Amino acid sequence: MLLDIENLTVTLPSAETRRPVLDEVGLTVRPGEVVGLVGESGSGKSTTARAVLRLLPEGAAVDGRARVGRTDVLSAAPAELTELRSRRVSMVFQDPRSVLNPVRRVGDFLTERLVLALGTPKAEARARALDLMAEVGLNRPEERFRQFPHEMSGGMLQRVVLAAALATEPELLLADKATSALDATTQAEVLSVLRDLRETRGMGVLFITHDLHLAAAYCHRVHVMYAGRVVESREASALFADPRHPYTRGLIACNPGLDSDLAPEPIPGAPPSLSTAFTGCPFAPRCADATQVCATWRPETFPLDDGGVACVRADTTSRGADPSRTEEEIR
Amino acid sequence: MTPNEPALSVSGLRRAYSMGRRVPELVAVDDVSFELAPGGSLGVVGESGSGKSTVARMLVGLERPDSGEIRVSGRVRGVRERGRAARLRRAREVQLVFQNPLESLDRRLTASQCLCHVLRLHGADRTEAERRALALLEQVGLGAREAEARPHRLSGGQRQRLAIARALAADPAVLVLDEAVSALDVSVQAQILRLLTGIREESGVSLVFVSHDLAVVGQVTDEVLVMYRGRAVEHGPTRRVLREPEHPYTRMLASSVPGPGWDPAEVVRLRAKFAAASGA
Repeated sequence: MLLDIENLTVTLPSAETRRPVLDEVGLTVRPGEVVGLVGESGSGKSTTARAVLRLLPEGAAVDGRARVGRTDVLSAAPAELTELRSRRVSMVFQDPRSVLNPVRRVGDFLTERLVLALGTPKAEARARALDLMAEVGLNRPEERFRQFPHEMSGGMLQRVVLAAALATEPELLLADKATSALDATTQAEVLSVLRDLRETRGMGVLFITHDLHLAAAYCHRVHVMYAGRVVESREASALFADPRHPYTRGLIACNPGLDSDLAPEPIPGAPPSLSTAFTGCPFAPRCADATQVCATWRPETFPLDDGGVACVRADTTSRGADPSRTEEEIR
Repeated sequence: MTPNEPALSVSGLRRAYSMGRRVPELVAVDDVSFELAPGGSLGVVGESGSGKSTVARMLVGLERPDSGEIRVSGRVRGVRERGRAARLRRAREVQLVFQNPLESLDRRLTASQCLCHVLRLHGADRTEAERRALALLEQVGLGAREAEARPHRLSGGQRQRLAIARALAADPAVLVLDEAVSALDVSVQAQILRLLTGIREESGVSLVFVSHDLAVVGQVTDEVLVMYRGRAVEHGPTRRVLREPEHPYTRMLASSVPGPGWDPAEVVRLRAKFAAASGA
C-alpha cells in the first residue's frame, strides 16, 4: 500500500471547536491508483491531504495512523519528514499563481526545485526542466522557460506547477482541486497529461475535487466525505450507478449532469461548522431518510463488496454495480 | 414597449482592442447578435478568451462597443447618459451579478443597508426602502439575522444571494450573471440556480447567464449562444445545442464535460482537430 490512513482523528485547538475536523478517517491509495475525495467545503478533504504531509495547524491533537510506504508520517523524525515533503510526496493546489513567484521566471522556479530538492547540478537542471515542461505538454519549452507567470494562462501555469510537482519523481501526488479553476477543455488536457504520467511512473494520486462527475469519470475509487468523516467509499463506476449513502445521492441530485432532464435539487440546510457537536449521525439534520435511530446512532462503516458506507439505514446487500463497464471506460 | 418587443436585442456587436503599433488588433467580440424575450433565459458559453465576458460587460455598460447596437425593451442603450434621471433609468435596464460578491459588495454596509441604499437611490422613502429591503431579502432566502450582517459575516452562498437581491432592487428588465455560481459549492450552486429560476418565474426578469460551465447553463437557460474567438458559432435551444451540437466547436465543448464515458484524451484530440481545421 502506498498511502494508508487509518482511524485518523484530528482536533483543532480552538475554544469554538466542538468536534474533530477529521473523525476516524480511513482511506488507501495503491501505487498507480487514482483515488477521489469529494464533499462540500469544510468536509475535511484538504485537511486529510495536509495530514499526509503532517501539515496541520500548531497544537492540533492527532490520533490514528497515516503511512506513506513504510514511513509513519505522524511519528516520523524531522529528516524523514523533510525527505517525504520534498521528494516522495508532491502537492498541487487550485491556484498556480499562489505557488509561483510573480517576479521570477518559470524556468528558475523549476530548476530551483531540482537543485534544492535533488541536488541536481545547475547545468543539468536546466535540461531536465525543459524535459519536464515538454512532458506536461507545454509547447516551445525554451521560450516558456524565460517567461514570467503573468505571461502565461492559468492552464499553462498549472502545467508548470505540475512539472515542478513531478520533478522529484514522487510516489504520491496530492491534487487539491488542481483543475477546478480551469475551463473544462483545459482541465481535460491537464488531466490527460497527468494520466499518462501516472501510468508510466506508477505514481499514486489522491484527487480532491468538488465535482462528483469528474471524480467518477477520472478516478478508480472515490471516497465521499461529510463533516470530517468518510461516509461512502466506492469503486468509481458504482458511485452514480448505485450510491448507498443519502449524502452521495444528495450530491448527485445537486448536479444531475448534462444528459439529465432533472432540475438541480439542493441538499437542504448547510454543512455543519466545527462548533457543532453531534449526538448521532452528522448528516441526519439534512437527511430526508433520517429516522429516530439516526439521532443517536454513532457512525460506523458497514462493508460493501467494493468499499463501505456509514449509514445505519443504508442497503448493504450486494446489488452489484454495472459489471459491463470496463476498466478502459472507468479511466 | 409593445407586447412582443424583446427584453433585450443585440445586433452586430463588435469590440476590438489595440495591442500596440504594427500589431494586429485583438478582436474580442465580432458581429454578435441575439434577442431575448421578456422572462427568457439565455446562456452564453465558451472557453476563457472567447469573448463571453466582454459581451456581458458591454450589455451592462462597463465596456463600450466599437459598433453594433444594444436595445433594452426597444430602447437603444446609449453609451453616454447625462443627468440623474437618465442614469437611474439606465440602471433599471440591466443589472449585473459578478462571480465574487466579496469584491462587488461594500463591506462596510449590512445586507439591509446595502439594499436600502439602492432603493432610496431609485426614489423610495426611508420606510418604503426598509420595507422593500426586507421583502427582497426574503425573496432571496435571507432572514432577519442576515439582514443585519456585513458581507464578511455571511457565507459564500448568502453573499451571492445578497448580490442578486441588490441587482433586483433596481427592478431591472435584464439580469446579467457573469460566472455567478462558478465559485460556489455544488449544493449551494443548486440552491442559487433554483432561486434564479424562481425569481424569473415570479418577476419576469430576463436572464443572461454567462458561464464556462455547460452543465449549469443547461440547468437554467432556454437558449444558448456558443462563442469561439469572439464569434457566435452556434445559437439555439439549450437542450438541442448541448445534446446534439451541430458546430464542431460545440461538440468539443460538450465532450469536455465529465460524465459517463468521458475521456480527457478524446477532448484533447477533438480540440487539436478543431484548432487545425479553423487555422488557429
